[in-house]
Amino acid sequence: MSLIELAERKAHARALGLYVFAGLTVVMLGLTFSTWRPSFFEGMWLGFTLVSTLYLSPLATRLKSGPLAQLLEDEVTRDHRRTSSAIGFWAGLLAAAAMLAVGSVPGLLSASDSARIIFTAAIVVAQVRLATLELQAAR
Amino acid sequence: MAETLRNTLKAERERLDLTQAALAERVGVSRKTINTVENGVFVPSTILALKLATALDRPVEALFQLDDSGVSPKQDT
Repeated sequence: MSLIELAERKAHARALGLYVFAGLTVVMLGLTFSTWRPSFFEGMWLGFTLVSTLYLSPLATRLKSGPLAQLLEDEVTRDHRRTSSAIGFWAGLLAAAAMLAVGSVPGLLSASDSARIIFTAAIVVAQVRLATLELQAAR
Repeated sequence: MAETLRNTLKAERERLDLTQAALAERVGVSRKTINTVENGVFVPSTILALKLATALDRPVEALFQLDDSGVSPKQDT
């Protein structure tokens, strides 16, 4: 298998992984609101969010060198990261505005609940956008 | 006025009997980069455009042209 094919397979797997992580992050967010072991799921949510953030950032691939890492982090991927991060930023802003509106109802959501929702919205939207762009580009 | 970048990358690649993967290997990028440039989805950097021109043995302006640029060349007086 050539390096180009290997990079394509890895990029495809990475895009699918982004969808999975996005889904799991949303599930963990939902579970933090359950009455059954909420602190455990808060920890899980935090873990998923941290891993998702790392997955989204170019840091993980920039730390690696070599031709494969270079192919996985080429010009188009960097552009996709920028685009998806910008969309994630707007999703975070929208979520924050929604939390402002919801926060006017007393006792509905705590500050940490709101923060989790805003983080999740920003990260999940960015992940889904990045994965979609990567898969579309590979068609 | 919106400017779009047309390119003849696919035709030039096919002229040399190269697949997208083969051209990607020559340039040192992923196949999806070649695909998105060919389809006009992604506007390449100057560095990538020059690398593509070198790989296809064509001047860069033969590969990329502006559509409705509205830019007129500056005349020397």
